[in-house]
Amino acid sequence: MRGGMISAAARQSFETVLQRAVRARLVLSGEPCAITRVDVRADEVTPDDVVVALTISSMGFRYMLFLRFRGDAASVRYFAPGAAGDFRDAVLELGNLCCGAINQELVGHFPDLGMSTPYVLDGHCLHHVDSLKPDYRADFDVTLDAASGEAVLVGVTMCLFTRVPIDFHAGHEVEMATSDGELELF
Amino acid sequence: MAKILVVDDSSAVRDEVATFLRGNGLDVQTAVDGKDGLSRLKADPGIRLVISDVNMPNMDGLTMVEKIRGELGNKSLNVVMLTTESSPAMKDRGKAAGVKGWIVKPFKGAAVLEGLKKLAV
Repeated sequence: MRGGMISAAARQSFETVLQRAVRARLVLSGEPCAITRVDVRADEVTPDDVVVALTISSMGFRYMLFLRFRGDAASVRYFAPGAAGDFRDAVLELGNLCCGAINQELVGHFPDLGMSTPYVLDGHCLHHVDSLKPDYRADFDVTLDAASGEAVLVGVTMCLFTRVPIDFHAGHEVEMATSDGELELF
Repeated sequence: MAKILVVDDSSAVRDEVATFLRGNGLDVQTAVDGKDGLSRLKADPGIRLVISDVNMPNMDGLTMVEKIRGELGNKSLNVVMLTTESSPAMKDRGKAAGVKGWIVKPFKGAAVLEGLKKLAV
């Protein structure tokens, strides 16, 4: 890894921005949300799991986000309460919203950002993320305490690939864009 | 009744937006990407407002707007982008293409209903 291309402040900032986005977009009804940094993601992937992958690209770096939504009953009830068949589409859009929130905050520091559409990967792909040779990688376990009393678990992996040295400070008090959801007329 | 076309590759978003607008008395059609959106506009010239995502497969939303103004020669149709994109550069591209308005997701129907109704007249 060329992790030295990314300053300590930038690493912390990328993680802070990610955690803000998770709390803003994956917590649907104000439930308690715990985000824990984990060293290795070695748990078993099941065929029902859905991994959503998105990319944010700039001239200087590429940011990849992998969100692993478990296909268990608690997750389906939480993310797609209407019908089980909607689960894949629901988490695809949640991944899009989550990455969009990251993009919205990063664009204040890197104006040339562009974001991909969300893609679904086979869960086993997560075991091969390191083969992409990211310059920086961080894994998190997200636990949502749904109102039903069931814990909903989401795995989050962030990878950064750099072309130039990256340094920025996201700050700790910045809120998500307040204009979200409003109609801006030109 | 005002006709609105909702264009988004996410069925979750299409359903959410269309259900909300229909519930508020609007006639809504949906399309799955920019290419599909153009086809539906060609088939139904009565559509008065397009609400479209930006990032979509096959044809993105801003390319669709450029083709509405160019290929279809429709300069008066109102188009509002509903997207996670919020960068000034992307909005500038939208303005240049003839986009009338911009909404950053998530969709909050009550906050934009009156504005969308005015654009759909």
